[in-house]
Amino acid sequence: MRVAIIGGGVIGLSIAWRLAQLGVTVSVFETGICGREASWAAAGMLAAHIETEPTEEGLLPLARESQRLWPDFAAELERATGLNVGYRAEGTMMVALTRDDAEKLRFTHDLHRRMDLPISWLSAAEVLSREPYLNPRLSGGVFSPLDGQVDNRLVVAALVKACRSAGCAINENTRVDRVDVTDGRVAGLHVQGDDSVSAFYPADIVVMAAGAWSRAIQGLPTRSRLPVRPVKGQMLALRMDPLAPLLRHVIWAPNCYLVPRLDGRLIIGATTEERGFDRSQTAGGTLALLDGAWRALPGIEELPIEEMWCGFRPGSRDDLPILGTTDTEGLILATGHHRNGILLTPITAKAIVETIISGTPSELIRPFSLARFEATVPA
Amino acid sequence: MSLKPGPGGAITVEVPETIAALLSRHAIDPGIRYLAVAVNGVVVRRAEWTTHMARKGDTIEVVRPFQGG
Amino acid sequence: MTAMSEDFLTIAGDTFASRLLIGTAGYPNQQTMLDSVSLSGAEIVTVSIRRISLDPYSESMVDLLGDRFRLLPNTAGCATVKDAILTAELGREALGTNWVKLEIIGDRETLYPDAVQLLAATEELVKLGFIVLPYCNDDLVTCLKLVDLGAAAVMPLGSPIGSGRGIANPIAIEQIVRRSGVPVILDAGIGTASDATRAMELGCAAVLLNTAVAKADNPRLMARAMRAAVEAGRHAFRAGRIPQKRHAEASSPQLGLIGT
Repeated sequence: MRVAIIGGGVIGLSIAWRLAQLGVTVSVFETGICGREASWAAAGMLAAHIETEPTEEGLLPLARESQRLWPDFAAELERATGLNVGYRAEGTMMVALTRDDAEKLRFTHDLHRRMDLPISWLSAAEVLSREPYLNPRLSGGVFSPLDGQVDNRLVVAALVKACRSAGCAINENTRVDRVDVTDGRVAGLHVQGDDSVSAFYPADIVVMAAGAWSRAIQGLPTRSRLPVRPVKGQMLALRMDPLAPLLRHVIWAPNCYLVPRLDGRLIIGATTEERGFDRSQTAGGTLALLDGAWRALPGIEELPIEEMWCGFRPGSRDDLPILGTTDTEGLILATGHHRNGILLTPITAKAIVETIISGTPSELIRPFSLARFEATVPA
Repeated sequence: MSLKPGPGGAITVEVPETIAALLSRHAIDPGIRYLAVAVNGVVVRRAEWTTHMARKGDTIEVVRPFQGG
Repeated sequence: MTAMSEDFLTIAGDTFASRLLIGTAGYPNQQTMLDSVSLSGAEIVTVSIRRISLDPYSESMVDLLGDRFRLLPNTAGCATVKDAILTAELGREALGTNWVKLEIIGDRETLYPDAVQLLAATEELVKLGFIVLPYCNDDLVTCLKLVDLGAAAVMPLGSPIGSGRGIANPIAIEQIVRRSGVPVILDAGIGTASDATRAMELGCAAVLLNTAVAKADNPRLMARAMRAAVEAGRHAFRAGRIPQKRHAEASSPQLGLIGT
């Protein structure tokens, strides 16, 4: 069995690594450098519990399971590569600043409780005792002990190394021109390297893990044209003193999130914009992020800005992932992860590999098949 | 033209071309449904897209229905 | 049952079974919007007219809605009569309908309509053959003038767009219903199901809402609620409610009491 994976982000790489560990012949095809798009832009929050939105309740079982798998996944990656991936599980907090925020947070907390999530309400004093540099006038918060973070950029580096060690072929700077589909089954990929020479890579299984670019891959029959669009996010990072950090936990504030890394980097995110693949850092976006961060953590005023960047979340029509088999034999989908790509990496890899090896979609991913969109096929 | 800027950007004309050619050049399929075009504030009907010439300096609006309340 | 099923909404000679009109803006994602619109039972769905997105990755909402609904273009974003007319004409060309929801906003903070421009635009658009549904203030005089100019309906606000405060001035709405002679569609400010029911009990012919469903925690469920709310309010209106009294009146008979 030969497997070709379109896309060298965390999803494509983790699937490739797991397959290679089982002795499967697998090649990853990546337009640029592996893991430099959404995988790179992400903040690496593992927030299956605290980040649940009312319309995404269907995602909760998958998200929780994936978060449960993360510690072992991280440990295995570290063993396989000798590289640390920065997995931390000291819990995250969501804070309310104004009274309107507090009321909204109560609402959110009611949702958490209805879904039986182990999240507890904190008074303003309790929040400040855990994070003393937050805005002293904040009005309350919730604490989610099971949530945490991982350093997604370190995960990318580790996955690339792990893939290579396990025997995957990784083809960077290689564009997939077309998926070859004959008589309803995949035959392989037509690719083009940076030498502009076209080549055909025969494959029994093609995994679509091209993130926000998934819709653009040619060659798929119309019914399989993926309803995935780029959802732009602007982000930035400040530099804290690692010996005296302003923040230790991941914090969700009313208008941004703050992710402190152990080395002193403080990530602030993110805007949500439907602007295609526009890569500009706008004044408005930057202002919104800095203002949101400053209101929660006034001490950022003194901190230097270290980096600013954009990424493109792969958003499907219902903002839920698209996973599993399709009408086209041999075509497996692993995309549409929206803002949960890092979180869903271990479960996606596990479920997709199971699907490939067994031939039938794994139980947990059945609600996420492409077929759910059939009722509203575009005119 | 003060149609509030929506998700799309402005379309400019450099050399005289038909509306159909202008659309194709912007990777818009002229056969797409629910599309409307105005040149200098006047709607140009679909039947005329292959004949009506857009010229440099013309203000072009190419619109479709979008989310709205 | 026959009497209930024959109670159609009629606007400009067209009949509709549903008295709920719904908007397509502000939903968390496309699928939620599609499902909510379907679950609302609405037959008339509002859309805006915007520059086409040139990126090939976005899925067009209108392609997904397909031909299942009557799409009603609005003139949202237009501040002048000229813009509103061009937008209406583009909407007519794009959708093949001469219906237009006319909205010309006069103030950014309250999003209240500009009555003067609204009247001028209505006059022009009616002359150009449009079926005009103007979004207007809950002011009887403006509504009467709109009707005189040929508006096919009037759409007074309940309270400011997106405010969710319900019907601020029920007496004004009642007067408009009683005097205008055209269908009155309450448009703007609906927050929850009881607001929609109230509008129908006041005699409105229909309700138009968007934010109340799109921004609810569970838009699909709220869409179902609104469908039921509009139906309930319409039945109650036609059923003839009991009067409100100062004193109590026992409902059980006062004769044959045990112990007498």
